Amino acid sequence: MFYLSLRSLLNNKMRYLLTGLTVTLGVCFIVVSFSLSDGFRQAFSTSIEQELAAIDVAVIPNEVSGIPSDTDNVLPAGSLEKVNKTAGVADAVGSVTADLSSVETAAGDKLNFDSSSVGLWAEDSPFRNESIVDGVAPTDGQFVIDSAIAEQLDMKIGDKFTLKAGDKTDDLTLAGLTETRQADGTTKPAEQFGELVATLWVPERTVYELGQFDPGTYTLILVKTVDGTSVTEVQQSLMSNLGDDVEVQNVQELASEIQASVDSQIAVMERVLLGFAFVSIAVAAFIIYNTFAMLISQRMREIGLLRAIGAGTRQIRTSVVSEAAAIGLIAAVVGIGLGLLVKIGLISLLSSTLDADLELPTVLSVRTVVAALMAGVGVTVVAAAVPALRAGSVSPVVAMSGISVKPGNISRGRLLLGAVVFIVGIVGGWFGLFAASGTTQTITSLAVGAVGVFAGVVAISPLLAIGVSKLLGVLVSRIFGLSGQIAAENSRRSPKRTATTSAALMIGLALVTTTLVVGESVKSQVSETIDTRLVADYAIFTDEDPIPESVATEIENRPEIGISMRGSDGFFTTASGDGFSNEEHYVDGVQVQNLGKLFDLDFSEGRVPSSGTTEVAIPKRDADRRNLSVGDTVTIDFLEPATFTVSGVYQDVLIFDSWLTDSDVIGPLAGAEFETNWMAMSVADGFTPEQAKAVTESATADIEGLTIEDRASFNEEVRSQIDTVLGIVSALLLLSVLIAFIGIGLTLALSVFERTRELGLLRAVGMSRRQMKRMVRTEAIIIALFGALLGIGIGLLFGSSAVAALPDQIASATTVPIVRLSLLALTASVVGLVAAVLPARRAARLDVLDAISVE
Amino acid sequence: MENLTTDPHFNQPRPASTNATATLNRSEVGGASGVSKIYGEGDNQVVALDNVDVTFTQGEFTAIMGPSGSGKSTLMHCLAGLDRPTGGQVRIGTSNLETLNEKRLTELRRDKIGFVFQAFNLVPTLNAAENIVLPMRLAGTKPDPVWLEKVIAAVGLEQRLNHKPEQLSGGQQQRVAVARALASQPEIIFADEPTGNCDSVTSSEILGFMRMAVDDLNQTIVMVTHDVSAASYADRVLFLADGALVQSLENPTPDSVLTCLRTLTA
Repeated sequence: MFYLSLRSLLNNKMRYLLTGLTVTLGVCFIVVSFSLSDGFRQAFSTSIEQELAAIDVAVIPNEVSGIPSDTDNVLPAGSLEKVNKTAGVADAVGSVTADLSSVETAAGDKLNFDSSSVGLWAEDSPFRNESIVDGVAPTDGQFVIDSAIAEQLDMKIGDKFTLKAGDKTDDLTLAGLTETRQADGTTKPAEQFGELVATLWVPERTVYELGQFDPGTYTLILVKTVDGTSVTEVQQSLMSNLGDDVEVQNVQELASEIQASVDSQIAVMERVLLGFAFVSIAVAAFIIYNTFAMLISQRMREIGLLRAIGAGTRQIRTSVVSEAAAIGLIAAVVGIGLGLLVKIGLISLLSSTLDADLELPTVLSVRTVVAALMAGVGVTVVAAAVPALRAGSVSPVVAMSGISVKPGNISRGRLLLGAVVFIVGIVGGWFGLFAASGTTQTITSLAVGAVGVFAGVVAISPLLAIGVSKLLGVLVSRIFGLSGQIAAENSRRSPKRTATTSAALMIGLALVTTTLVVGESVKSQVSETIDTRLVADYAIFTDEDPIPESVATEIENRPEIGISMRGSDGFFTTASGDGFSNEEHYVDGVQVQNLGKLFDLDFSEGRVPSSGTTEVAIPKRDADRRNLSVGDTVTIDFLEPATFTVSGVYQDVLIFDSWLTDSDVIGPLAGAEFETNWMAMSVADGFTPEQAKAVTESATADIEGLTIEDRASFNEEVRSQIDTVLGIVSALLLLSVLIAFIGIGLTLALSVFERTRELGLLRAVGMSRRQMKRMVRTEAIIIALFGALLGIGIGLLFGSSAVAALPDQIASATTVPIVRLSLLALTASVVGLVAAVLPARRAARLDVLDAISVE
Repeated sequence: MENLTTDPHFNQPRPASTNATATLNRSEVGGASGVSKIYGEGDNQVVALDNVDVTFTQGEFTAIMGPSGSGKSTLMHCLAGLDRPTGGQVRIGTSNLETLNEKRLTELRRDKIGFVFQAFNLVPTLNAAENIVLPMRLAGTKPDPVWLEKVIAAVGLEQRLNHKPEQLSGGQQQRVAVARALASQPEIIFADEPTGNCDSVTSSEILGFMRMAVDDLNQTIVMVTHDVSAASYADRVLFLADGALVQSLENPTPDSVLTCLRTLTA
């Protein structure tokens, strides 16, 4: 029977090509997801391997709990000597790095690094991966830098630069350019993964000065063991020699720790991409199902003939399924190739947008191929299974009698089942949003909810299709006259077909609508919060350097400034309490006496901490999770643990999300780490915000990286972040929507073919080509609009449920973005129109005589 | 022959020849001169129509007969503007079909010609009334209500106008098709084996209706058929053989038609 499948494939090339294309696109998405993440993984692991190639053991400072910053993370003095004396150590080199706040050219322009640091240039170190490719190694007053970074920022050998770290500055001349040594002995500029991260290699004096380290201390000691000794033994000896202050890791531990942190980030990206790939594949499944169902009903006679001359039920079914498998296989293989091409294209697109030289190895792992083939063949065969079953049960007599097979009635069972599944979905979704405890339970219930709602709607949708196309029919026949009316009648004639085609579009648009609704609701909540609860007019934030005491005082004393409040950046530290210990939290120190005057934090209980007390106000989220309420005590670990009493629980999530304490109280506890990093203030009566801001700006002119944020710009920033997320989600859903539109084109093409006779009649009695085209196009619009309406409807349901589940402080009321949703529906109908171009042309070009003489 | 004996029109006087209105308006509404249709070239050449001259006058019911492959369907397709002849001229009303482009030809079919096919005559998604006015709605014109009422009354389908084709019997479907052909008051109606799929009772119902359309409504019908009793409803029968017009029989009866056919096939 297989040759029959093959013949059928060859005879219906275009249809199969398009069906295959939907699978190819879905598979392509999967391959891109996997190959991108595999590529990132391999690129990182290669660079980690290279970096660690010469190292056997590394000595790093022990992470002391509660120390908030890592700039003081220095190995105790004398560590290097101890390491050198340890048996089995062949070579040990100390390394120091210090973060820079800025690098300026001689002209005073800041170089545009995302982050920069100075590192000790150890000329004789066997661990050094950088080689000088141009110029000379740095001596006092000089530095070297990676050649790619130098080129990107237009830095030339001989140029002078001013390096700043905190309040220290140093003027240095660029002496040479480096490249990274590769495994094969060649050198290559360092890879930049999106961000421009630069290390300026300097001699000892400079790094100690800028980093304010005591001479002879190191942030890291790299060790090479004597050949033939056991690395683990040396590691053990180092541990006992150096004591508890340091951590000693061998190269495997080091590599796996770095790799693990990278992997977990890549895994998140991979999962998100795969989720969207799954949506595309699901959409493709609808198209495949529909195509096969239509092809089978068109081939009834042929199948009947085959049955009459002795083909068994099983043979017919096998033939249909093999047809599907063949399409799935070919489509998946093409999809794999296309996926790799898209991945390469994406990387070079990313490279040129980021103006960086991204290179990702193109990895095609067995896992990718297996997943792609399974998805491609699997989804095609499963989607074609029902049409195959139906084909097998065709009775030879019915099929050959030439009775055109009417689209089956919508059975009561189907509707009932659909309703039940829909309700299960609603219940699942409700449980996931409001009642589930734990991430796994939430995600599982939400998935059940979403799939249930979609499946339920798909089951009921033929019924809806009848109603909706009747309504739309009235509308389109007003606009398009007879062509519109016949088109509407057609979409009602086979409601299942219309419904399935629309369902494919529905899925993507439902998800787009959900994100739109949630996004808009959050946006309007943000605006409301800013209007009602943010009393402060503006705030200043520093990037690197703290706001000096003198500047803060100057601002506070200006008459233009009303109330002001200093704040420190959140200390990332640990807290313990009843039932939990060493939980990581951000703790902010603020001038609590003014906190309530500038911010209404929406306390559910209690109040802001009183001035001069060890009180803390905590976010409701933490209070709920740890069952904390006013009067409970918690231990917060600064340099030394200290006990705080909960003074209040606040519900705000937009302005603050940290534990709030009095800066005067935690200042001494945090010691040197305490800095003023931001100030919030209101404008004094009688002055304009512009006057106040001008004063503030002139007072802070000398502070690098200071930003002023007022209510409008804060609002704008949050909004643009939400828009970015909306944009990304829509872009990822674009492919599924595209697949759905291919489906519309395909359904119409098959339907035109199926109705050749009828179209011939219409032409014979005087329908013009133009009217014929309009008719097919109108049918496309009806299908697209129906899909859009279903999708937007479900999206509104999902979106408003999500909004209801979100805390009121994030989104309290559902905002329906009517304009955007109308645009979505309008775009859907326009694209539907485009999808109908080819089928419409085909219908218009039918030869009247051929059409009416078709058997 | 059994069919003929059950035919209610059998042996009844022919109303057409005695009809006053029909004889009054004997003006030409269409025809062909020197029409040829040749497929292929050289040795593979097949002559489907060979220099056919024919004229149709208003209020006349013409049947075209001939053995299979004689070219009767090709002739009708060429006459109706569904197919283009390779030689000669076809006229419908005042138009010369060879001068018309595809668009004008479509308009001509819509406005000047009515069609009745053997099957698949009706658009399944439209009800009977909508099917009847289909050509006029395609043209964007309003049907003449008086005429339409007359036609619908003649079809006798007043009670079934809202029914979809699948709810109508085969005979009713064909009657709706004839009504559609009549509704736009075309110059000429072409019917291609209109009773080909019908039993004898239904056939006579449809043919009687067509006869009535010619007699009472002064319409012009050209019908291709291979059914002797169907042909006997016509005012004249044209016989085609090997693409050429070989004989014309006025006021046919089943017997005279049969005789003619026998001499042709002999």
